[in-house]
Amino acid sequence: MELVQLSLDNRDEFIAQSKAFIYNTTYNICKRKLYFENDDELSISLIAFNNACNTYNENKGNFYSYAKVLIKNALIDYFRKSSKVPYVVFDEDDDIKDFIDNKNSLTKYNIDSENNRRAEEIALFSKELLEYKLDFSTLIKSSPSHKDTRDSLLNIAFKCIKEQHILDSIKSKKLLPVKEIILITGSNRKLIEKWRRYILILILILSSDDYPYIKSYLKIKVGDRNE
Amino acid sequence: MSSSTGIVMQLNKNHACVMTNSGEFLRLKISKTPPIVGDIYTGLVVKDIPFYKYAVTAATLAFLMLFSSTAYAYYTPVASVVVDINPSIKLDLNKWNRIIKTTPLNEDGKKVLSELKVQNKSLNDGLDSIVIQAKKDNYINEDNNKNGNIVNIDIESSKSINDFNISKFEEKAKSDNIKLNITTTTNNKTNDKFDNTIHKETKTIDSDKNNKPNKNDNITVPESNKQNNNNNNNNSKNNNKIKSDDKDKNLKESSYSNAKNKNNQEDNKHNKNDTHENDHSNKD
Repeated sequence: MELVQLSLDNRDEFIAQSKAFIYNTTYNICKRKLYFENDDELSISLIAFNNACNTYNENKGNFYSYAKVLIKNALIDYFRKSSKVPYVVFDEDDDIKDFIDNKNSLTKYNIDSENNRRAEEIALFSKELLEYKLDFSTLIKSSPSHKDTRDSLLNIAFKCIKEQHILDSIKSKKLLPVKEIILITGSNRKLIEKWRRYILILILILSSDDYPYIKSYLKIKVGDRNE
Repeated sequence: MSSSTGIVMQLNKNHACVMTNSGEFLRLKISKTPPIVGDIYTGLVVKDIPFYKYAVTAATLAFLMLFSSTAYAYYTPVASVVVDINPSIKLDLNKWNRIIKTTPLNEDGKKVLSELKVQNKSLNDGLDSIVIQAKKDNYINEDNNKNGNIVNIDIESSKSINDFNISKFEEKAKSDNIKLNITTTTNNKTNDKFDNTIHKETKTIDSDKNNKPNKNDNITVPESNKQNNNNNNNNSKNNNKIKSDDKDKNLKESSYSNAKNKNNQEDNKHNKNDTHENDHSNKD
């Protein structure tokens, strides 16, 4: 990707060319038909794409994978902040089309540099986890394997992220305020206490802006409650 | 085992901690090429073995050990009883006085054993059924009974005779007018040194057959007088019985030279065995 193409002079034209890419990325998360005239999600994606054009430089790897990360995160932030939270789920079907795209567009160098940045994030993240007296080995034991459980925990985490006072109390006490979470989400105390570590991890990943790559690796999409 | 893909978060010796894109935290087995932190890695999922599986294995093992040890204890002979009517039969007993093995010592014994099953019966029941079968086969009959049928029972074990609890059988034999002739041989198989003494004991039984001595733990080669003393002093209850039996036997000795001969034969066998044992001990 040439930096010239991203210069402000060519920006309009470039975004117009990349509309299909933006639409696809957004569609992968929202999983419904979207219209540029109507849907906020697409506007968010456009803004994020423009943002990506501004901040991109060559050591950030492939431009499109970088843009994808930013768009995903922008949408997740949007879900977080919007007043009516849609039901979000983890996507589990393997996107073969996406996989082929990645293969074609990503060279080994790009993959390596992306991995490096991810490694930096993970190092940062595990340092933060140490403050909560957690590490990945204990996480493995306390992470749910059932998809329904994971989805409902993800929604609980999303609801908690919207409440600033919960985030503050987590940051200061390094503990999950179980009582308040029950009040907000109206969910079972047992469920929250059993999976408190997992909820804490989700809140930490999704609420922070320090981990864009980890955040975008999680395939979060909008799903039906009855799915 | 299913394979999964995720970002490597932490590396351990044999596995990588991974976060999948569906939000799961898993442990993947590391294959030949080890990943580095931050890689997207695909591998087989390692699952912790749940506690109940350990519990089940432990319980199974414990059960197996218990079962095999009881089976072992059950099938270990601790005593042998030689019943000698005319058919002579050797019964091996375990520590619960159950018959675990029967060996016929002559043709008649073979015949009797082929017609009845005494395995896993208690000694009382087993002796009973042997006597009944002997009656059926006419080894014990009324003609002989007038002169007194003699059943020789030779118990060889490290336990005292009171442990065998064959009083039931004794009573029954009394009511059937059968003379019992009970001999006990005590052996302590704890030491190789004792092999010789056991050997001597059996020998003395051979030589002093007329008296049918009852022997206990004494190791020295007893003289006949001494034996009588022993008989009088030790195990009074049994001795009395045996003594009376002996008297009877002495009276009828002449008419029952057959039985005697048989005893002789048996004793000779014993002797042969004993000499073998001696050879072994010498070699050792």
